[in-house]
Amino acid sequence: MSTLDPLPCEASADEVEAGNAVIDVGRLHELRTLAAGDDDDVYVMLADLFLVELTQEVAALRDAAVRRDVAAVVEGAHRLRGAASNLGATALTALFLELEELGPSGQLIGRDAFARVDAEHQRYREAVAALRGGSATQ
Amino acid sequence: MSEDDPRVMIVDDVDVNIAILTRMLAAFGVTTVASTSDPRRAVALVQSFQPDLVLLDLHMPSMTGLEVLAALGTVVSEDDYLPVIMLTADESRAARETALSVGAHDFVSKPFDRSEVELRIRNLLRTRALYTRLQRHTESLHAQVRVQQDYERRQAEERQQTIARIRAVIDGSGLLMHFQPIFSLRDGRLLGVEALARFLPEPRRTPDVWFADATSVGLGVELELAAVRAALSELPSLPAASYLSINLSAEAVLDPATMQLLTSAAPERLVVELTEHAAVEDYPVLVRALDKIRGAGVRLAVDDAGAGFASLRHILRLRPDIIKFDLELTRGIDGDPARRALAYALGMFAAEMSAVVVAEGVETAGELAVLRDIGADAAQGFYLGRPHRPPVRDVYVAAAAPKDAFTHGAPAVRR
Repeated sequence: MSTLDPLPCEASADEVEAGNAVIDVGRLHELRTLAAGDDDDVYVMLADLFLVELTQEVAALRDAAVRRDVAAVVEGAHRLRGAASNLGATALTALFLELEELGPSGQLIGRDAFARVDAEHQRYREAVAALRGGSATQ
Repeated sequence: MSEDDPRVMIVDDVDVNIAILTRMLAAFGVTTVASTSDPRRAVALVQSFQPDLVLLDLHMPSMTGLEVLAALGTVVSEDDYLPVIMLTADESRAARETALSVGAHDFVSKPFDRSEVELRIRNLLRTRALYTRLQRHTESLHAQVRVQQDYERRQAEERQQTIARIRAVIDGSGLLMHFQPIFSLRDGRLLGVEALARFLPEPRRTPDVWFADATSVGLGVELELAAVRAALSELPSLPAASYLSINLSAEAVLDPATMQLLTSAAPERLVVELTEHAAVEDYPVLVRALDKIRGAGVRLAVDDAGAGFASLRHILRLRPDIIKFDLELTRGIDGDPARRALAYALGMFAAEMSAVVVAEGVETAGELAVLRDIGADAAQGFYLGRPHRPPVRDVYVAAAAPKDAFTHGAPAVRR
């Protein structure tokens, strides 16, 4: 399939506007242009790398919240936001920005916030899996 | 750095950011890349990898980008221009200003934009390349200046050594006068001797080198006068009937000390031999100085006749008492009609001017015979006697000149 074809994970313009798209399609295309000769899908490869870090970093973030280490929470959320934005993970980027901005105000990151992180983490993982499946069918 | 193959280093604690940047760099041809996700390793990596540009995450947990920048400042030479681009996630204006103030050169925000990354990196690499070229140019200029300074210092040292060497001779050591006999070609009588300086200091140098060195450090006249003084001091040990011919440059003739020196001895026994190869610019001044000296009884000889135009002009302008044929004219005169003709003509000219002809550089019996035939008055040369230490006596002459050196079996010398 061509990269111009709609993908299951791709956000509509409305979704991007609303900040809850899973993967920004523009970013997806941009990163795919970086393909070297033997890459199946550069984006998927990068996303897999990100998913590994995401799992570790979110666990660390959760620990920091339990320790009520506000600085560590802000730090971790900031780092995750940078990485998520680099991959066009729009919803995750927005969510980590929210956490980053909550931190300095002293508000604790509650269970519901982590539930939302877990949910978006999962949606992103599925979207990447769908891309992988799409690639595999080519 | 190689401008074709720039070395870029990435420091970011998030691996996926490094992976994206690495691919973006590769996409515009930058493939020599080193990276670390541990900012504490950044300094060591800069030292080992020697990057041309560093991409440095501003926000890292174990060590911030600002701390890395500060640490880099201690290992990167002040003369080096190592551009650092900070990687940021929309940091505050204050944070950016702080980064700039501690040495960051530019920023790239996350998400990294491929074109922006390329443009910013290319700009800074270009700046570094220009800086490096400028620095090389500066170093090359410095090297040239050093070479020039070394050269000038060596010149100055050599000059000082030359001055010391010549000064020592002037002050009385290492100068020994030799005397070459000059014989009449009419009766074989010893007419005079030419004083010739010999220098003893090692390494041995010929007299012309000594005088040229002395002139080059402004001691030419002093050295000439030292030689004159040494020659005059030996007058008592020279045959009383002979004259003493001493060499002087025009500059030395013009020196007031010369007049004093020449008139203090026995001026009527002295001949000044003008050894001036350069054209004299102001003859009237030279003529005036010579007139004074000649007025005291000193005779004037012009050296090197037949070897160049300068000597002919000297003859015309100075009207010498003695004209000396250059060895260039004397050499092989017995086998060369042209030399013979020129010598003859010069001899006629000298006679018209009431000047005496002395041929220099006579080395063979054949040359001597021709010179005698064309009417030269006197001669000197290895054939007749080498320059020698006193005593210069008739006995000495007899030993030097072959028995039949002079005309028709007449006694070569008076005993």
